Amino acid sequence: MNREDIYNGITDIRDDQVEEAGAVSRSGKKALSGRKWRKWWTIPAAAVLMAAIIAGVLWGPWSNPLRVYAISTAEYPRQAKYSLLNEDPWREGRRERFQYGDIYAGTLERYTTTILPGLLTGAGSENRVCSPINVYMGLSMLAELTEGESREQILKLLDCDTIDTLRTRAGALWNANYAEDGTVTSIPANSLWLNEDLDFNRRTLDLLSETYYASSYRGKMGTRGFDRSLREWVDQNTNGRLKNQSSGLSMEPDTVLALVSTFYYRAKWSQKFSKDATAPGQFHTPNGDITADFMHETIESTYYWGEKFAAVSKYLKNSGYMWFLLPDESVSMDELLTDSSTMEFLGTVTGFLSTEESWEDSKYMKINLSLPKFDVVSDLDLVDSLKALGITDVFDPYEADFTPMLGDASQYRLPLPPYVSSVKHAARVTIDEEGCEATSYIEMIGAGAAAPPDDEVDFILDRPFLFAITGEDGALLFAGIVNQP
Amino acid sequence: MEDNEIIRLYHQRNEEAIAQTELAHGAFCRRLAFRLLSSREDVEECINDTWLAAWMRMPPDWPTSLRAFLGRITRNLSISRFRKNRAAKRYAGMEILLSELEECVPDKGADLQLEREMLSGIISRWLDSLDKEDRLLFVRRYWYAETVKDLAAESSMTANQMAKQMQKLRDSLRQELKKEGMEL
Repeated sequence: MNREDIYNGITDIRDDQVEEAGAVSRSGKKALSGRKWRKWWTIPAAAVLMAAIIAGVLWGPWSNPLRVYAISTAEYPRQAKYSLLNEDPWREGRRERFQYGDIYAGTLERYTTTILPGLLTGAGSENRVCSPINVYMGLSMLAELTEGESREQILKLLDCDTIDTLRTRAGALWNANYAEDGTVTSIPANSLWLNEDLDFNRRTLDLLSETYYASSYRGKMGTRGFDRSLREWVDQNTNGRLKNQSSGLSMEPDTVLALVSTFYYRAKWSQKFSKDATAPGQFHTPNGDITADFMHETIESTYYWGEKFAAVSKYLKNSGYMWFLLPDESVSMDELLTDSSTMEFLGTVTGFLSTEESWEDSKYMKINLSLPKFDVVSDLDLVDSLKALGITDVFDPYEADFTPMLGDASQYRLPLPPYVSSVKHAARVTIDEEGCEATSYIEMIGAGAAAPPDDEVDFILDRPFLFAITGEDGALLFAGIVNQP
Repeated sequence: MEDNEIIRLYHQRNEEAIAQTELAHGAFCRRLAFRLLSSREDVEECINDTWLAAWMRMPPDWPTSLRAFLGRITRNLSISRFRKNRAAKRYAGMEILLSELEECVPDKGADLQLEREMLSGIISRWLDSLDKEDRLLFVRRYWYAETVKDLAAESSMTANQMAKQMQKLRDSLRQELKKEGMEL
């Protein structure tokens, strides 16, 4: 008998034993229940907004005074809250969520590795944050509103052959990443803001409501009341984290429709940073040194390296991981973002559940981690980025095809057919810790893009770095560059 | 589509069966293969072979659990691929898994031989004798090939603690196999 015989014997264990473990596998149910509930400490929070404004030029006269009609309000699935006394309903809810992840697992890699360089390069010395999942959701809805080449270009970027495939994946992505269970808050929210002077295809609106949990509102474009409703919706769905960005949102009288998606995420480290170890230290920004508060801890974890970076991850309780990629000192951030090895790494950790086996250049070891607390925000216009990624027709009034949304647009006597006039994408990610108490700062050597020297390594994020937050299913929720913590 | 409906399509020789299998179980099989083979190219070939094997075996087979049925095919194809290409490629997941399972081999000097069916029966009965939590852990690690790190993270344990727990389970299985072998 040898080890392969044992492997084969295990392969053929009874179906019920496979099913029993499969029901728990990826459900997040604790593998062992020996540990008691822990108090959590450090909190990454993130919020994002994507707004696509679809414009035409309407001929008056404008009708109706200030009124906003809710055509449909999405009803989100109810989730059992975590209860220490009875965990079962909560676990069942998580198990159901995970099953959605199976539908699209392994299918987002190409999209992720294409969109990331497109959105994050060119930040210069500024911070930049994006949410690939939020852009995916916004583009999915845009694909539903379009037809012909307009839709095909979106499907191509999202790596889907048909709109049915996209619908299945996007719906599953929403369901897998919606969590409001008292342990993790992860809320993708979608909405449509419709010009009341036009008739929209009710069937399309119903489809968006059913698949994407999109709420639809109708009102008078270019009025303060309608703009205020939109901002309130954004603030409510991002927990007020993007007020500066939402305050700039407005719809012009010629707006046909605004498509607005948000994503709010909040989770907690499973293993806290000690407040006593937090201390000010020097962060080397592209414009010179600044002082930042650094959190320090020693962990046993997997250390990864590639041709131009080194990386570690930190587990978010009942959720996914936060990844920190430190480029080699001679490598610029834009160089890192266009490096195939880096994208392959991100594709690997987001395409499947992260495992130490999935990236050959990795080692499980003691890591002395130094991480600056940060609050990074950016506000991007995505039109040029999306055009560069092959989505062009929706921005051209003479090419855009919005038939599923409006039917025959010529009935409205529009001198210009509807087209997408702007796509705003605002995102913010914060890592913070209650009440820092400075003690000491230990200066350590920087990690480079090479194999670690022994069984212990210092990983000091004291110069611009890349971060990524993956959900419990591996989907890339947020990514960003910290140039100024 | 329900699994029984998918199986019915196979029995009707309807090629839609493969598309529906891909939709319902593609990600699961792909993830399992990736954990074992760690190479995207090999995973895709392995998955294509899995669909072909499923097509060849249904009919006559009508699996009670389509997931377990497909997973078994994927595992069998993965180890075949490992045997064939191991000299040229590094299948990290499989290598780690097998090196751990080496510890379950009882009394190597005695060269105990058991039929595959008999061996799986012993392992299933041994799994029945375990606490549910230990049983789930073992199957998740050695059937689903989930990593020690991921299992540890879910359990609020360190990877080292989880590795020790796994070692206990492997020791227990080795003892069981040794006992069964002596009784033959």
